[in-house]
Amino acid sequence: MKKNMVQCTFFLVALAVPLAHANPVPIVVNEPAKLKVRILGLFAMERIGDFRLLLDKLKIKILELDFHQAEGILEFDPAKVLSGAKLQEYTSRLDELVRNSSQGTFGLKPPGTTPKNKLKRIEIPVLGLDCKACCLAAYEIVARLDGVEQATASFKEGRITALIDPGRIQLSQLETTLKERGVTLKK
Amino acid sequence: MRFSINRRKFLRASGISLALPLLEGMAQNSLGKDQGNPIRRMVAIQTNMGILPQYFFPDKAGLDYVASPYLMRLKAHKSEMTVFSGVSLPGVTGGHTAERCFLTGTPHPERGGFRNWVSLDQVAAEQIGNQTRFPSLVLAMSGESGQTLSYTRSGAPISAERSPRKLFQNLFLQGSKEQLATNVEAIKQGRSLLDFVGDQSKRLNRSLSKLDQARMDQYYSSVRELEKRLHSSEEWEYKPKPVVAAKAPEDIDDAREFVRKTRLMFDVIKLALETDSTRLITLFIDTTVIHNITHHGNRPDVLAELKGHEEKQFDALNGFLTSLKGTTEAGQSLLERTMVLYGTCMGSANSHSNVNLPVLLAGGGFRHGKHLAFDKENNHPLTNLHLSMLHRLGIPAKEFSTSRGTMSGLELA
Amino acid sequence: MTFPILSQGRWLTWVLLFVPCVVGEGRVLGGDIQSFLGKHCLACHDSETRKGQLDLSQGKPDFANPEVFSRWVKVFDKIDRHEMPPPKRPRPNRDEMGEVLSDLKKQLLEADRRIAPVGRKPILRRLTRSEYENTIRDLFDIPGIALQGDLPADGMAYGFDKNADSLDISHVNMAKYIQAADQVLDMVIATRPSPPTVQKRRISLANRGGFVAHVLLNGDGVLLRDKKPDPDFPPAGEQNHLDEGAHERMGTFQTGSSVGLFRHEDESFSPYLIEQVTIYPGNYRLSTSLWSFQWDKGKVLPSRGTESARLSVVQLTGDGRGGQHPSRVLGYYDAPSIHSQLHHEQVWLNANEIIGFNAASLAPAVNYSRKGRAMAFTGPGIACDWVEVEGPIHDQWPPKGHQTLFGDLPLKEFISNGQRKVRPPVRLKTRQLGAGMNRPDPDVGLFTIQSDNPVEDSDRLLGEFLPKAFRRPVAPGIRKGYVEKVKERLAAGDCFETAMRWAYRAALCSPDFLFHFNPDGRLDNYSLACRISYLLWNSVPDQILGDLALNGKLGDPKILHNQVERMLKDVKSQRFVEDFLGQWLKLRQIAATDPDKKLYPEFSSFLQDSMVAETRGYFRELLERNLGAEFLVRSDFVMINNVLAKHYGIPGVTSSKIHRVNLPMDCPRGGFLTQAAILKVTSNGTTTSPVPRGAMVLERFLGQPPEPPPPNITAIEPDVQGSQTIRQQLKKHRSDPACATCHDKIDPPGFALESFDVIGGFRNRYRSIGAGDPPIRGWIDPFLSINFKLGPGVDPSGILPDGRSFDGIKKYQELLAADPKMLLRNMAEQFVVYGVGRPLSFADRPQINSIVSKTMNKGGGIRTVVHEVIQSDLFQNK
Repeated sequence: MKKNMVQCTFFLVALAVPLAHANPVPIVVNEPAKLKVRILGLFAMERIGDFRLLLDKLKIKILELDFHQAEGILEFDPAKVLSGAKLQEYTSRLDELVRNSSQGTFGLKPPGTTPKNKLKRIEIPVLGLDCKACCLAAYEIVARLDGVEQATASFKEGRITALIDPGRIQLSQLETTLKERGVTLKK
Repeated sequence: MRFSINRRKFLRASGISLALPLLEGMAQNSLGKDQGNPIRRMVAIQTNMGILPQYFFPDKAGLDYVASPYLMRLKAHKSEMTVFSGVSLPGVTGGHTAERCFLTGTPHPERGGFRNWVSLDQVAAEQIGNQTRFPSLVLAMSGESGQTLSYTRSGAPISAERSPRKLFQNLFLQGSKEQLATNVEAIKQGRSLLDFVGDQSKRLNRSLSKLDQARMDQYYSSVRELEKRLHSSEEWEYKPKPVVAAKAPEDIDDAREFVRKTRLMFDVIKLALETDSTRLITLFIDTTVIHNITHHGNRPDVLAELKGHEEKQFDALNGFLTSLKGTTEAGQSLLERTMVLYGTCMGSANSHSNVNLPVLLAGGGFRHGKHLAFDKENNHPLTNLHLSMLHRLGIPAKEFSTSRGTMSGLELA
Repeated sequence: MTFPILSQGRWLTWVLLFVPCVVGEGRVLGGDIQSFLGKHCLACHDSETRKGQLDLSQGKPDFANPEVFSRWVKVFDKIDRHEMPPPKRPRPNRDEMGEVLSDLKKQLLEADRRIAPVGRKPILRRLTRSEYENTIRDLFDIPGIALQGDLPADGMAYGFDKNADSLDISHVNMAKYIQAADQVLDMVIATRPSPPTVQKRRISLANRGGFVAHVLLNGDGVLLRDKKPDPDFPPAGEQNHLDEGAHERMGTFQTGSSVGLFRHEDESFSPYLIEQVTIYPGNYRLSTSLWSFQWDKGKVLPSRGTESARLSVVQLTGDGRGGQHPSRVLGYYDAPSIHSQLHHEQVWLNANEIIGFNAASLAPAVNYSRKGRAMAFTGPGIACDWVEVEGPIHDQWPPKGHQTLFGDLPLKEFISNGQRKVRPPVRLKTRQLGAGMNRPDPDVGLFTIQSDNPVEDSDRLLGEFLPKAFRRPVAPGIRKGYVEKVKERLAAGDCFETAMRWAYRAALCSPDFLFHFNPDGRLDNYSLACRISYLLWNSVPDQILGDLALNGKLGDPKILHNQVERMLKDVKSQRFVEDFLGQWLKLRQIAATDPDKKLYPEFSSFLQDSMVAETRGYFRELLERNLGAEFLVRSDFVMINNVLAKHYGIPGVTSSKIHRVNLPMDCPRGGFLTQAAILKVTSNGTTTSPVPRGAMVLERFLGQPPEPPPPNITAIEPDVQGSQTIRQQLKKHRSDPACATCHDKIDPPGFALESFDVIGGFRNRYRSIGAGDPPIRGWIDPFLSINFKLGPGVDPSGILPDGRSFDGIKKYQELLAADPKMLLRNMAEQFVVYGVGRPLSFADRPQINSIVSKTMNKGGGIRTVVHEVIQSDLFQNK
């Protein structure tokens, strides 16, 4: 009996552990799903409009959007938008959908785990052509680095900004990577 | 596991024990032509990112040259090879693009609209390809598809086999019954067509003048000759593929391991030659992975790194030549009967120059041992060597590509 | 020179000469010939002195020996042309010479006719590569199928490939013929009940395949909208654009903007329009909108003038990636300043062919390595707004070629039920290479021809096809052989299409198809029809000509004349122009040499292609207007385009297309000899030499081929350093009498042409790499750096063997034009050798003379020569 109790406890603990780290998932099934996500590809304010248009086409509602954190809350009907997806797969499946429909210029990730007050905003002056695709390219160079939670790129204004987790990455690393990939840093 | 070394030892053991009876048997089967005349083969190899000339070219010309650092790796075979300097392909420029012209010699590959000419091995295959199961093997040790040394008459590149494993399977695993039936049927139909048109020419001949008949006879003999070749192709379909004790090799995926990949390919090539599965092989070695260090700018550390890689390539070549030497056929070593052409399309990869190409020819039945040094300002055509190679194969061609005769100073043994 | 002492042996010969010999091979030359020889020839040409290896003292020349015979023909010609005795010797009496010549002529004619009649007949020969390809194209109405490249190269004899001596067959040919036949049948046999969907698509140079995108990122090109830089794509300046992939994903290149290029194609840049990769071979409509501009650091301004863009058809090979795929030029098109010009073309595209582009008239100039890139660049650019491809265009379905094989038999879905097991037809899978946006139609299923009476149908279809393919009526017995084979295949389980395919493949490999058959003696109507159509169209007679032959009408000279007129007016006669000129004027070798880049920086593929187009255009003009023989060597107009006009220094020509332009008074051009193509094929890329040029003039224009050089004479290496001219180096030609006999004839035309360099540009001074004066840029593009200097002056003067002299090319042309009969005779000979397929012999001369005099009586035009040749017995007999 005691053995069973212990086993049960272990079992419950075993369940609880993954649950605690899981994505926040909706509780009720037959209603539209709500999902908090990190949004990739918002390298400038004008991209908000592009993003809205895209999600509109995909029949996904944007309940909240925070540009400076690159986060948002989306609402959608899983049966219509993602046929046959499991709860745990919602973010990755939505990401796939968004990527395929935007030539990979937009993407979705689970929200960051670092507490917001620990994040640091940095700015790197750069020189480049005032070209939307170049901004995307520069954005992607930094956004892909581990520890970069959000970024913007504007050659018109001549700067790249990023919200980084100083525990995981330094400003100098961003500068180095940008230089390696052909972006000119303003002295 | 150092697969390649173990396998090489293993293959050598099995190769020798199987080779003799197999080879003798094959020699008798192949159209009965080769009693008395040794079977000649050709392996043409290009490494496409150059060979550092300062470590390749020996100083003196002639028989008693002092081996350069790279040639030292081949010192066991000094008397069985000829080193060339002052040679290049006339009109072939364009830096890297010249890599498609190593066996074709077509000028100006960098120009828009460039159409390549037929490659050396394909010209040879037209004549002697029917004597083996595979008229030729087009191989590559490369990261990209599309790189090949072999081209058809209309300038189309012939895709190379890049997987030693697939090559092995093609050589030694029996095909399906359905494939056999399809192939045989196609050949039978070809022969039946030739039979029919041959009859047409006989009918026409009856009403022709004597001089005209000579022309029609030429047509008829061409038909008969092609029929014979199809006949031998058909026989090949029924003959079981040779049996070797070795197992199919595992391909190496990492492109940086180009030396190991080359050795692996050499192993299968040797098996192909030993079993007389083919007599014409081309191998495109692509070392693009080290492209940036080939632009060394004369920095000593970069040069040293590049030298290290290239030395290992020469070691691999040495291994190949040694393995050929160690196999005998009718009293001669396989090396004596197999021409191995090794070289590159750029005289200096650093400057992208296409003159003064580092090239050597081993084996095959020539009077070797020399460094044939030609004029560095006014290069000797490398296509002359190609023509000599055709002659060595028993093909009496008058010219090949931009050749102006055979290679001076290289005599048949 | 002292009078030579006659040796004892020679006296004996003299005595014997007067004794007529009946016994033996040789024919004794008549007394008057002997005395003439004795008086004027034997001093140098006896058995001892043997000047020029010639011994004329043998009284009984054996005319049956071809070498002896041709030697005596040369003797005849040299006396006839007053070349022998040499000018410095006493001249023979005119009457004496006339008698001797007519006597010798009679003997030679008789000997030629009696002894060597066999040698004068053309021997049975196969189709040349180009005849084979055109025959297939016309037979099956597939104007663009590419077959020549796969066949082994033909040889050359007497200047042309239409000759049995140049056309061997080996097993390699046979194997390729079988392969080609399969290729043809794969293309021709319809495999679907309705034609492929016609797709029309506007594509851009800034395309998904990235061929051009990478140069846009780096400033070798710009995007333009409304004739201004595209606001959404700034020109590369201090920085270049980042990441091509990002631009493609953001759709930067799909906005419909025009692409302006500053960069010419080169080894790293192949401007391909990769978005349309042909799936279905066929006719396609092509259009494009082009303009040019001057770019000034970010501003679009009017250009320096009309530029020229090139469109080509590129054959993707391998996996379709990368550049430098084989291609053929479609044409050059005007790109006027600022205002877009529309161009339309119809072109046949084979599977996996795409359209390629080039800013042809721009000098190679790059910005990717320039500081400030496009924003620091000032120079010309060519803009392409778009290219539109529409097709495949079929005006009937199934196409004509399919109907040639299968008539009206319906195409139905293949259902393999039924008592016997019938094998379905084989279908090839073709893979679309590259990155085309056009997609294949959805699979409709397996369709094939349905026949309810296969044996009857096969007999009927073969009855229609074989005579067309074999170019003559086919005996029922022969057809039966094919039908029997079809029956065999049907019995073996092949479906109707496969069984018929067997027969058609055999027909295309049979000698009846591959060879030209001519009966001995007078040609029958079929052979004549073939000979005419292979001359004028390089291909089979069409229905009209075929019907006339069937009805035996070609014996009527009036009908024949009308047919020749019709055929010359047909667009297919362009094949005659190209094939004949390719050989007669060696245009096939136009790309055999590369002009040295330092000496001739102005050379380009645009110039080279235009050179060939000029010569073809000029010959075409001679034919169209029936101009006289003088126009071969001299004229008051040229057929040129803009780049040739610059090259020749003729102002005011802007069109990229070849058209007629009147020559300014002082221009040294006119006729074939001053055309760049001819001047290029007679040079070696670095230097010119009077010898090959002179030899070409003698051989190809005057009909007097020079003797080959004596063995063991080393070639002279012309001096590019500029210290000696070639003329100075050839002094020995004049000072040594042994050399002079030939070189007095060969060198003068070459000297006149020394005024033109290796690419046909006019010069008063040689260009040199070494010493010299600073050069004049002239028309050389400002973006090309000039690294040559001006060396010694050119001396284009000369003296003809008959003593007439000239001070340069214009005077030389006049001297040549003074004997139109000689020029006409040569043209007639060339046409005969080309059209009949055998070399000319002595006995043909009267006929040639007759052709020439008839032509002269009708105005002396080149078109008339063609007519007269075709009407002649030479042409109408085997």
